[in-house]
Amino acid sequence: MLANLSEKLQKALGLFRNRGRLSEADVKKGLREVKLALLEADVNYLVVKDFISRLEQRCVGSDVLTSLTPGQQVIKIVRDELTDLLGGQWQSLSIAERGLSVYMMVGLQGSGKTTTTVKLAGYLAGQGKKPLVSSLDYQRPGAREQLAQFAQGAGIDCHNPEGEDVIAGAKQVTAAARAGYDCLVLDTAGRLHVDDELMDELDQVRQAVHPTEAILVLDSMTGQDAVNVAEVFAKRSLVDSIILTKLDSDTRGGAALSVRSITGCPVKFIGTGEKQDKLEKFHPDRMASQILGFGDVLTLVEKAEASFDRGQARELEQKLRRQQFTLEDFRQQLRQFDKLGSMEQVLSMLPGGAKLDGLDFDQRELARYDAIISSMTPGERTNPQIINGSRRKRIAAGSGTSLQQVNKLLKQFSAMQKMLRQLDGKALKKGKTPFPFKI
Amino acid sequence: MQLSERITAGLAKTRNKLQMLLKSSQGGNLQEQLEEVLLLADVGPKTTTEIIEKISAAGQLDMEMLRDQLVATLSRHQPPILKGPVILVGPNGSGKTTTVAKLGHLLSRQGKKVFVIGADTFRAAADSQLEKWCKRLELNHFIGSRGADPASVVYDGLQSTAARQADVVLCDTAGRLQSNVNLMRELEKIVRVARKCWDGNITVLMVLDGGTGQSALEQVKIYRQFVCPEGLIVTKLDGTAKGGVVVALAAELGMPVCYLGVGEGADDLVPFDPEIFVNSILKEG
Repeated sequence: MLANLSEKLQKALGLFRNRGRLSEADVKKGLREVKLALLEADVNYLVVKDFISRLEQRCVGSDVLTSLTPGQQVIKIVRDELTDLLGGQWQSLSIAERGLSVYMMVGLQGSGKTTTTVKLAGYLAGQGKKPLVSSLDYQRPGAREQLAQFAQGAGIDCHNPEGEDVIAGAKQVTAAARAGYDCLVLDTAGRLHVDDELMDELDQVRQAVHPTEAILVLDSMTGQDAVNVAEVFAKRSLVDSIILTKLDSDTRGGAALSVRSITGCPVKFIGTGEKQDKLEKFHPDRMASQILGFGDVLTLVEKAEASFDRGQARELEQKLRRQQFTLEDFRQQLRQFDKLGSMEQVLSMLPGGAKLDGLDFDQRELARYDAIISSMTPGERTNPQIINGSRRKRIAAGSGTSLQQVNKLLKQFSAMQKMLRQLDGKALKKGKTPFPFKI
Repeated sequence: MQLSERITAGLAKTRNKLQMLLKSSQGGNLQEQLEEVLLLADVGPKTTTEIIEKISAAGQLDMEMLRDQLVATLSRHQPPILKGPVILVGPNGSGKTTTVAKLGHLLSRQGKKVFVIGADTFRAAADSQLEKWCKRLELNHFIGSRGADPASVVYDGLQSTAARQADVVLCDTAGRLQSNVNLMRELEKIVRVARKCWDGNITVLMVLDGGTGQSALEQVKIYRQFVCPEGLIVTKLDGTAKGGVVVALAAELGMPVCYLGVGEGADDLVPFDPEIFVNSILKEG
């Protein structure tokens, strides 16, 4: 779902990730890529323009660029703004305080109203309600039969009003529903938002049945026009919430990002298949992280922010520059890394982390290193050259490891120091570090 | 003569529109404005950039050049001539059933013998929808009942004498999203069966909702892998949707447009005219 947008956005954000320093020009370049990714995904042009200018302001204006991890900060800002754009948290379906809850489905032809009507009724039934569905679609040939057949297949009661008059039909079926149901989902004929006559008819239906919610059903494959449609329906107070359909195609999903910000109405559900149970709650926050491809990487970023002390990091940088990096500092790094959680957890939070399942990383390795360093005297930690054979034996015994493991650590550390000596100040400035992980 | 007159008239209209547009946009960068027009019409960022680059490389960057470039892009590939079986395919809700009826009506008004096969055996009440249309428009038809194998319905339909005697046989199929491989295979089978049991050409046309955005590219690409549609019918252009994605489809995939659906009435299907279409894309609002 939304894989396409996700992939493109991640690629764009890749320009920020792994960057130690960001200039204003870098940010602009990266944001241009973000803009293209959003446009490719059919997000409305005006929404994109607005979105990008907000991002630009926040990224360039604040102290993002001078921060320790400007790339991550930019990504964080994008996430925040995206979540905001999509509408924050999931909002549940309103239910009438007493009596009958009426849901009125409106939308263009072919957006999936009839199918969604039954799906929504199915959802309500699953919530312990007793729903009735009814079709007021006198326009499309066979529409009422379609609803009746589909409802029957789903075990939902369907009552289509007699006669040819939409308003009378709406009143009739509402009265009928009061007699034995607590929810009524009304299907209406698809209509174009520019067809004033039919839009007036919807107004009248709304006034006749006083819906608990009027729900706009929108095809998620819709392009730039989605906002025009939503806007017109919303202006006539025919939208309390939105259901996006056909999200099971590899749709770009841009409509989802646009309509909520244009109308201010929340997207509550998404349709993800033709079958009756394919209606899912729409969680904007989760969708935002999903789109950015890191289910929980941002949790990881937050964790990293919390566990990596800025002052310490700066001190470390100084030490690295002056080539005074000792085993003591190494141990500190290990501990900070450990605070992030187990390697498995960290990996699962990474995009594509699941694919790394076969990766053989022994979590105990970190603990072992810690133990070995802790078994050294302060003198040994600052000056490992003095560690001779008998000291090695003592350290191995003290840390409960073997001689080989102590040797391995010392060897790795000396290799690391060698690398550090080779690195000049410039490389360090660019953010290259000899660690297998970022600091 | 008539054609050139129409084009001149169309041009005059566009010029007025363009002048209005240029006047209304105060200051700003012309290139950005042109981009905005194209992007808002769903032409998509890639094709938009290409087109803008092409015309700015060719010389002056203005609306007139843009218009010519768009028309040229859309006229590059000729739509197929409809003869024999024509199978309409496309995603759910794009308007296939209505289009079958309208196309049948249009062709029979042109004096052609039309036969309709309804092979949407999946969607609830699709059969009765098409049947009602056919009765209303007095079209000969053969409609499969719900749950039947669509390929066999097409086979039976094509075997009938009525189909053999018709000039054009229109087949309606169930809507399907390109991401559903099994349904795409089913469609492939329908077309394969039709090709086997009919000596002569079979045309596949894809029906596309005019409001569709850049997803259309992926849709057409995947449909092409399975059933190789030769042309498009773009529907629902009577709203505010511009359908500009067909420019991207023509530029990137060489896909021509045959007809445009402009309303729910039986007569609301018109042959595609690049000039008029481009004018409507560039029109404000």
